[in-house]
Amino acid sequence: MTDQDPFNQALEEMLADHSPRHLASELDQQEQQMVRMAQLLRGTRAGEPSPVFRETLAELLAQEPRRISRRTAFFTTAGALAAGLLAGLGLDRLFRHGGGGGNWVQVASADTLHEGAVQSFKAGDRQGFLIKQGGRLRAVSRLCTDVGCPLNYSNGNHRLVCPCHGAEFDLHGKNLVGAGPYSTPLPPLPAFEIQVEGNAVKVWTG
Amino acid sequence: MEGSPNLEGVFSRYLDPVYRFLYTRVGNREDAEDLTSEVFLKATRQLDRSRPEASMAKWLFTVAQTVLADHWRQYYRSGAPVQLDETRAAEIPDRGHSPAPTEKSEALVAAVLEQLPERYRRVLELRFLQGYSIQETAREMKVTPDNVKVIQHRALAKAVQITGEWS
Repeated sequence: MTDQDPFNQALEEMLADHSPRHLASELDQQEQQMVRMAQLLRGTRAGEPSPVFRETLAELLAQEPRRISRRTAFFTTAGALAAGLLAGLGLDRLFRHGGGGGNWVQVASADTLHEGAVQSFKAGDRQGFLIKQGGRLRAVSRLCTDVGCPLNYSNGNHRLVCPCHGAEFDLHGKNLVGAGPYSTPLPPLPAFEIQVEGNAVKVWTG
Repeated sequence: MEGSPNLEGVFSRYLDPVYRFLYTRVGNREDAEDLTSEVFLKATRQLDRSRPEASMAKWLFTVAQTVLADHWRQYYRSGAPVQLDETRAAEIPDRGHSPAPTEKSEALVAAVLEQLPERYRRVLELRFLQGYSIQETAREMKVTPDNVKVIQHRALAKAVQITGEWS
């Protein structure tokens, strides 16, 4: 199966429910159209989206309006100042979430987090990484902003790496390598609000 | 209030039809999932929540078509072959009812298969509709696996040629 020509390989990939798109550039125009014809034939067998996909996408979408509102509401300097002020008062949450939809959830004990720690957590239906750098804590979403696959921490280069299409993010959530062979740049990973109460490290799940 | 129960409703009602619409055209789960995600992410960013739901649904499928067209452009450098696009599919006479988003391509597939010689139709049915492997198809058609590949290649070429003639 492995030493097939790209045309037959593309057909096999598609029949195995994988994308043949990475092979398209190795095909001539006629072959591309033939693969697309095969895709159309195979497409008559469309099923339901898988429960895992349904759930992952729902979670990704739930994070999306938050990111947008933050960007648009607080983009100007005045907005940023106001945001800082509101955050200091703990009111930005109310402002942003309309007063509902989240909790503070403990995700770690402060005394177990050493400098440089990168720890994954689940809080309600959210997933993230808790990171300690320069004595400070922060938390970013664990879900890739491409299609929502959970990222893995690679401690060799201190990056968060997507197992699905190879996207990479730094420990601040900034996208360094995009997804797929064309490396489409991606939005940053949303940050969690974080709070330390005594020894309890908590994140806001709204 | 920016929390949008609206959007959740739209998501839960239209995930299946949008996914199926895309799967029908790409024929594999990976592409269908990637493109569906893209459609709903775009929708979340751009959705006008004051729209009535019917126009929202229509708009979602417009987004799906744009996302799909971008996909073909991005990966298949030759661009969309005219014979497989929506307008061609729409020209296939249907049976007098208004087609669901996935029905056009089903009609197209049926029409293509109908015009193929028996042997070509058989290989395409076994391979792509039933999902038989090359070996299974070879056993079924009583030919060698290499023959299956040759027949399959000719059948797909012929199918492309037939749809090309419709344009």
